[in-house]
Amino acid sequence: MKPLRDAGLSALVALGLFGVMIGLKTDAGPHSLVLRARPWAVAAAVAAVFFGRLAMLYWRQWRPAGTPSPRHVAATLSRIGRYAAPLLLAFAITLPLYAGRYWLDLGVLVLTYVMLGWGLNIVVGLAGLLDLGYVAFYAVGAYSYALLAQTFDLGFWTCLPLAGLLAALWGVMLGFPVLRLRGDYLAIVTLAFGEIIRIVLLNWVSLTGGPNGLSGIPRPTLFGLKFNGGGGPGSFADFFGLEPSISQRVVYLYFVILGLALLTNWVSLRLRRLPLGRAWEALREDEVACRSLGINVTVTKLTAFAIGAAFGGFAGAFFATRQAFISPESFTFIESAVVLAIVVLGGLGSQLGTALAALVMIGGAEVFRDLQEYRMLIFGLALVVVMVVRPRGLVSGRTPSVALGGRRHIGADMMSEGHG
Amino acid sequence: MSALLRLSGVTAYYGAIQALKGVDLEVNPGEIVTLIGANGAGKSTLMMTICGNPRARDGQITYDGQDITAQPTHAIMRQGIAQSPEGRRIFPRMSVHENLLMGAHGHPPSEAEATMQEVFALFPRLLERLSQRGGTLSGGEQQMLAIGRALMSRPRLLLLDEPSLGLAPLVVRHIFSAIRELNRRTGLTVLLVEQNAYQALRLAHRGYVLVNGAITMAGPGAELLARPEIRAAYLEGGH
Ligand SMILES: Nc1ncnc2c1ncn2[C@@H]1O[C@H](COP(=O)(O)OP(=O)(O)OP(=O)(O)O)[C@@H](O)[C@H]1O
Ligand SMILES: [Mg+2]
Repeated sequence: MKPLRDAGLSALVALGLFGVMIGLKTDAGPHSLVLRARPWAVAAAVAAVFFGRLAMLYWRQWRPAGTPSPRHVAATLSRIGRYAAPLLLAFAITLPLYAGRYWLDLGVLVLTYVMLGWGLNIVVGLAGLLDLGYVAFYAVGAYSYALLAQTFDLGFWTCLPLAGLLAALWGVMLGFPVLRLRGDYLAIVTLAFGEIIRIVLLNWVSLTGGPNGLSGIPRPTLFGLKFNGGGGPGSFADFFGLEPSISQRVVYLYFVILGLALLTNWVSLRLRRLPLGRAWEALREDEVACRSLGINVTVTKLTAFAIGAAFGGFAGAFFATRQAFISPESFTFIESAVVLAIVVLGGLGSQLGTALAALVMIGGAEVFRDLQEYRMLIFGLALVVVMVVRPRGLVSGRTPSVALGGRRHIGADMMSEGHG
Repeated sequence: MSALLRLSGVTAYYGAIQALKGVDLEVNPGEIVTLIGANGAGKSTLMMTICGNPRARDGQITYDGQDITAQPTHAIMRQGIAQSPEGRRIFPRMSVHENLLMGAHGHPPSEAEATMQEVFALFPRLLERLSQRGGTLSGGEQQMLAIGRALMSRPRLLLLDEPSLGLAPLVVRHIFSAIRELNRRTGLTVLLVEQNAYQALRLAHRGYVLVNGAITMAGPGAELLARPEIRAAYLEGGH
């Protein structure tokens, strides 16, 4: 009776968790908070877990003959993948034609995370370096742009490369001391680095404005044409003889981030086919072997860090120009966690997977905003479901970076490797 | 003076454990030299120390007249030394093609293409499996891939650590004849570590016996094969 025991165990765990989380409720009493017990709610939740688990186990045992096997599903997905990418791109490009302000704003947000995901994917997905402090580079990019623009009166397009460069520089600075570290240790140091950057931003009041942040950050221009609601000489609306409107700026911002994200994607794809990108992937697999093939492991890791950081910096600069206001609050650890979740959920190393994961996670979280506290519950549930159903991420499996003749996709089902 | 690789008084440590206790060894250009010894004698350590990982603590390693003792691994490997390490260490998630290209890291692509054709001539099986993932190859195929990958850098000195590990006799014979052919045709110098002492000594021009991190015997392969103490220690139950 293994399923029964298993389900019983799950129910026990559920009892432990829900006993406190659901079983006790605080209400505002006449004088102070009063604690109210809700045994029936707990019983219902535990029963749901018990039967749910039981159903799942039996389903697994007596899977109907017609159910597609994981191998079949993987093959179908990879076939869909071939059409999904162009379709998604077409959808992204044409979105401003039919979407309103709300959806465009959401699109900008999602694309920012797509870009961050693709940037982090270079570090985590390709080079296999677990970076929990990616938000640091995002912050460096944002503050670089804001400070450069305000101090030297420079425009967005001038500052953008500088912001990326500065973030890359920080990537190298972080990289040097942490290159010897592996796995967990690297993760901890990068986590600390992210926090250090945030705390410095918070406390260096004379430069960064501390918790008040920086405001009045200039908006991007199109060949010198401004996008402001009021119109006037030198504005986009004036030049083209249009009715001045804020939505023109939103559309412009949307295309800017779309372009930046596509640039990130293009560079990642190019790099994968170059010896450098291949060395990153090899490094992820076996560092000792890489070294004995004459690869300078230090330099290779550093470039991954620097390039990943540069894209974080670009995204940060965009964030600053879009918001016109930044403060350390926007660069907390949770941002790093979300971006990492996007990369992992998407299937480490998969460009399409990362985009889909960003769409689902950021878009989904936004759409479910009305559900308030249930939002996080749905979010958590989605994470668990994905990890159970597709443990290697939404789009797992990698396409070889070189191929003679047709490129063959190596499916997730063939991933359980043996070394001998 | 003419040796391609010379080790003199080389010691190496893993923390406090001394794995090599003053090794003297020479490999001349165009030679196949084999290193035999019991498990844990330090054979793999010796191969790795030549590559600078771990680094030799005392003594000197010269390659082609240059002192490489203190050089970083990647610099050493760019001077014409290649290693097919113990346990193969191919990249399991990458295709055979990609694995081979990794071996030609730092070489121009056109040269890599030409070298790859030579590797396929040696191991046609790799060509058949070109787009297969390294991790899904059979043990023998993985070994061919590891050797092929090492050859991709067009080395002058090839370090082979137990190429016969876990392989069927037929495959071992194939790999050994490939080594011999390479040596004969291109003058490739080979330092070979083997458990299969009989075959290794028959293949090699010269051999060394490593015991507890020190060389105890050296000589031409045929001569070592004839020695009773070698027969007793390394060829028992064999041929
Ligand atoms: N990374 C390491 N850390 C600590 N000790 C090590 C390490 N690698 C090897 N040793 C020790 O060094 C000694 C020599 O090991 P080595 O791998 O060189 O032996 P070997 O001759 O190649 O043996 P085998 O024939 O089994 O491959 C052994 O006692 C081993 O336990
Ligand atoms: Mg060994």
